[in-house]
Amino acid sequence: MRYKVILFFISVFLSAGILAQTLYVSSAKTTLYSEANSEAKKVSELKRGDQLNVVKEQGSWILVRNDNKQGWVKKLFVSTQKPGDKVSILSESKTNKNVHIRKRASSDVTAASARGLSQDNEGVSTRFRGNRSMLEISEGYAILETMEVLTIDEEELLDFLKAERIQN
Amino acid sequence: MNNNKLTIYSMCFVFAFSACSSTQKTKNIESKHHALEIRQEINYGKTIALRIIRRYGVVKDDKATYYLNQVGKSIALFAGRSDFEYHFAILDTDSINAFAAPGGYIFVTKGAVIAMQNESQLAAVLAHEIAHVNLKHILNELPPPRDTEGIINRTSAVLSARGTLVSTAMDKIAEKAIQILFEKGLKVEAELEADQAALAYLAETGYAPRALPLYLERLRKIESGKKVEKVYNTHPPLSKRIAALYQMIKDNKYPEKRPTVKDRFEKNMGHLQ
Repeated sequence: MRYKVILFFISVFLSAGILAQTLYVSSAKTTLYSEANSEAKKVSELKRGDQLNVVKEQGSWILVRNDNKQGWVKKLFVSTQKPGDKVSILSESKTNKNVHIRKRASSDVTAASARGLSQDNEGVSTRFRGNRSMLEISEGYAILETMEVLTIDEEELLDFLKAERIQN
Repeated sequence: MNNNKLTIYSMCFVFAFSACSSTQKTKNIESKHHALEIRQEINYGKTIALRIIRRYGVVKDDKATYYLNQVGKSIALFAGRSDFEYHFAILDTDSINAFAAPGGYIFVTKGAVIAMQNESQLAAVLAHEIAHVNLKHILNELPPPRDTEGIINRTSAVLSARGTLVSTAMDKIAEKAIQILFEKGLKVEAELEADQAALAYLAETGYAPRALPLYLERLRKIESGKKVEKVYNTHPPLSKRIAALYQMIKDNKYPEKRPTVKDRFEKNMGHLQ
């Protein structure tokens, strides 16, 4: 009995050590394969945040265990960091201006209008620079801010891909 | 239970508990450190992106820019790094190139867009640039700041007080990055590594990986036919990249038949011609 109890505590200690070899799926989804190549049989679909225990590495692949299943994932799609909220250093005023639009992929124009963007069918409308010298810093910041406030929901992105059967 | 047994059990419990506890503490510290590193990376990226924007200006076309972001953010969704938002813009120049700054700031030139034939080729170029960000190719070439929070605070001050650059440290870092982006280019190994990752991103997102070598073949034709300035002059020779890409596609058994999406590309980008 005494040895069983000691064994239990040792196993707890070892499992704590193994936590250091835990990885998380960092892409929206990825596949667990039976062998270390993309042609191999699919064991299961993994989604962002799924926890994986590392068994071994081989080139650009890692053998992992997840929910009693074992298989290979590409290193590119896992991380030692558990996915959390996106880190942002936008100012409060800019954060409030962030625009989240949900729309169907077939209504690009409508959504752009809904976001407050004017539609310009003349193509390249206003150009900041042309052949002139560098933009003023303030103009540059204004453009940078415009870039940063454009966010698109994950659901919309998936619809965008599904509309052309890029994703199923 | 005698005293000896009790002592042994107690020691085991404390040992195991402290191991679990310290592991959790370590993970918390790692998590905070990671968030700080990301903030630092974004700040580097902001400063570098500002330089790129000021140099070229951007095409102010909402339709094209939104579409560019739909394609770029879709790839980023499957590209295995979700700790910050990616931002995409079209640079107002006819030269053919694309740039990536740390923290997810990605630019493609109008000339490059005009040279593309379909959405999968746009996706391919963006995937290559996303790979540079994810693999920290530029970031790893820059000196780590001694005082991370200080740098962040100074940069925040810069960003809130438009029109005044107060952080000389960040300025020097940006200067070095700009030299790499516009003059020296990254190491050949980094470019090939980005190509390798881009193929995986394309396959994972659902685009045809061969869109990347097909686009580069198109650039090679433009380069030889028009005698314009060497396209992608900060990258390795096109012939070397094309050959390596086809070999990577073969080695990884990537699927060849995937949608190229020409109509949607024409609808959203065709007017840039």
